Amino acid sequence: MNNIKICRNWLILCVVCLVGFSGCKSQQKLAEEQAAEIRAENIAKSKEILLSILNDNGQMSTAEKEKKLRQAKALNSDDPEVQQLIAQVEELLQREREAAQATNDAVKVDPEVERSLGDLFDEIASASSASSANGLIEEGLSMFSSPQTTVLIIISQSGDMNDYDQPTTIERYLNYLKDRKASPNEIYQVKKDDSGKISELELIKKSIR
Amino acid sequence: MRKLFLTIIAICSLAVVSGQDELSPERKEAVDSLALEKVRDLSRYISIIGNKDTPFSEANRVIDRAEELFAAGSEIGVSSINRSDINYYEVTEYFKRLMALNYDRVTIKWFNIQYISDLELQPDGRYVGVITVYQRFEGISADGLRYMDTTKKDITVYVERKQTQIGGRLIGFWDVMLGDIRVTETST
Repeated sequence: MNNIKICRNWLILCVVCLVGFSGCKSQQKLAEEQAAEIRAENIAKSKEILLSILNDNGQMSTAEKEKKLRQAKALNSDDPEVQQLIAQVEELLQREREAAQATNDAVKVDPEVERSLGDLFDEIASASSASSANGLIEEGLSMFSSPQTTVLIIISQSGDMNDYDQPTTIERYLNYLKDRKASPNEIYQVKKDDSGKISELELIKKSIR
Repeated sequence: MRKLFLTIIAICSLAVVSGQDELSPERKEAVDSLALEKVRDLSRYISIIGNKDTPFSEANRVIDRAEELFAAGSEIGVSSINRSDINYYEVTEYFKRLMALNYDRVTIKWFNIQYISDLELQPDGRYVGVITVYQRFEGISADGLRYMDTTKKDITVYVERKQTQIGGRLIGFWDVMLGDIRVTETST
């Protein structure tokens, strides 16, 4: 009788263990499924963030891109494609930092050049006639490498990022001053060529100075 | 529960993606001002082209600048207090007609230049808005007859972010293009 009782207890214990084991197994399976889903989510999110940086058409500043890269890295994805995108973004940021440094290193505006250019702009804008403005334009163009010298106009600055108006040339810009009879921008940066002539001019809206 | 969690993540991701294209208020204001500035440029160009004292070569140069402000295929409406219909001309033809107006003196002034529909981001990545202007036209013929009218015009404005390489630098700039100019009111 006792043996039967012992056997029954063992049987119950075995059943309980079996049930428990299969329960653990299904819980483990569920946990694995959840982990795989989270991993897939993180990979998708990382890719989305990284591609948004790589495909940016100039809306994001370098600082914003760096912040997004940190967000993507925080998702800890070891997916090879994500790692490759991270490498591409780091390379892009390195190039942007170098370009920004080069801009900072560019020759700062010589006060004399700034004054003479500023005076030229004001005189053209306030010229009494088109012919006198044309004379001033002709004279002013001699300060530049060519009439096609690039003129960039900053319309807004946020952090390390500048927003520009459509690039123009110095000849068009001087004629614009004549037509508008106003000089709405001031000198921001000047680059000169080997002969000391202005090879690139960067202006900034007076309203945001 | 898990489904709810995944839905929340998906919604948050969407919000992040859509938010990426939104400009900060400061940058948006600068873009708004730039588009208004282009309309003021056009106002000045129209005044120069219409002015009978403008030398022919200058008027032609200004026509080129004015044309560059417009998107391809844009049209400009012309009305008169003497007729009810409005004629629409392709941009180049409009400027040529303006230059050749049969008056001895022409004065054109634009005023109350403002947005009636703010620049809004479109699915194609462009911003589109509408700027309204009032134009005061005065023409005096050789025999001293004077014609005057005031027209209200709506100008569609397209703004697009573009990039170009200058001196090894990648420059992000805003390209503003004017679209059709529709006449909405004409009065004396």
